[in-house]
Amino acid sequence: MVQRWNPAPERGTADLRQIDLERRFSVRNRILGFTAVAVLYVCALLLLPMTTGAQQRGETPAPPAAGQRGARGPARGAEPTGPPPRDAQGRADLSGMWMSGGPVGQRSDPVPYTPEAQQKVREFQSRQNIDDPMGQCLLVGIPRIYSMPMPFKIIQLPNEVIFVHEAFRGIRVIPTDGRPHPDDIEPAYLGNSVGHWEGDTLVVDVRSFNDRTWLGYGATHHTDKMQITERLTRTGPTTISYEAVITDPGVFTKPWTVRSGFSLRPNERIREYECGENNLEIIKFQELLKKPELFVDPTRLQPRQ
Amino acid sequence: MKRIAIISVLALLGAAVPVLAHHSFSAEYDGSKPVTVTGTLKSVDWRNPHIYYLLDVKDPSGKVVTWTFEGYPPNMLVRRPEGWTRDKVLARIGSQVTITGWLSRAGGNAAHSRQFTFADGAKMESGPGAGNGGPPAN
Repeated sequence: MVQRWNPAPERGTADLRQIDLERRFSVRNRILGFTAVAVLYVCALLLLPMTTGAQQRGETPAPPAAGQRGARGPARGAEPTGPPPRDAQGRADLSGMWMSGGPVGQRSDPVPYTPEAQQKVREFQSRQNIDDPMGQCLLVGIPRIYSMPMPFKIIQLPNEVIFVHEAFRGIRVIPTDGRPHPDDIEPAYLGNSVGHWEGDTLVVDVRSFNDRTWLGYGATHHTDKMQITERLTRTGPTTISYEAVITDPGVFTKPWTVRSGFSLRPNERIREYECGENNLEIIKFQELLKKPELFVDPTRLQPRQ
Repeated sequence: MKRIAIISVLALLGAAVPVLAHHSFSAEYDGSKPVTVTGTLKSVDWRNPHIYYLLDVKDPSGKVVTWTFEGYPPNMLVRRPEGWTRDKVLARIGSQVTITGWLSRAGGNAAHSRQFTFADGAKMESGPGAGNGGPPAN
């Protein structure tokens, strides 16, 4: 049986999310939700000393019991507070399994594109972002890899910090021993990173990018002149704040700042994500592009305000 | 304009757009064309970057046509709170299921799935929200 119905008037994505939220959070559900958050908050406070202690001792948290799902961390809005764990050198320890999101959320300033770069955005959007390099399973760059809905592991060592991302198998090995960028670096999806500590904040200088990534879903293209300064601060037992200041004289009129946060997910694990295994989009997109009527005339797209 | 600007800023980070983890939804699917299909789950292709489900559907004349539904990547589906795993999903092959989603812009019997509802009432959010609010999950 196939049922198609007349669509309602077109609505923006933000509207739809609001409608969805309104549907889900009836008064009854809201009361249940508050109750659940309160219970989770109390549970998180009770469990905090065990979790933090295990992390500080470098122990692997106990796996969830059979049948218990391990992907859930502390509930949003119920993050425990307290001092961050520290490594043997006395630095705030970023080590652990993390997921993007959490209480900080993701936000950014408007993208300061030049008029020419903004026109290129409109052209990409007129093609429904079909040109997104991620659709070809190419490694996503920085900071986009920190918006992927997959976990990543941070391993903090005395002279380097290692990131192992499930998403697109991204790996970053960031020296923190004061060495400069090598002389022979080549353009790369994740660029080349060197870091240093400013108090409890890891500051990373990333450069030598290629121009084959987007910074997010919205056709946020860039050039190989891009340079990023990242700041990661472990703000508490289960949180890291993340900031990326992006400069690119090829497309930006001024630096662009993106901020987000990470939440600790001690019971998560890195699963295999071989994006190229069955990427039918490459074939399907070629077929779609044979039908220009499916794509919008770029002159109809208004400049972003 | 202000609303457009807000949407644009959110969309840049993927915070308010369908989280597919891999490709643009609107490039391939029409969010204004929701669809509901009931049939027999023929197969499940449990591979990255997206799971594909084939559904055998009888048309009004009794002829069986096969629909293709795209869904979350395995790594996203198994992390959802409903607790679906590869084994649990594959065990449903041969079952009656109603799938909601949005039609492919390329036409044909192809769509991106949003939710499965099995004959015993079990539900599975199989893809992200999109489109005009047609079939909500759960």
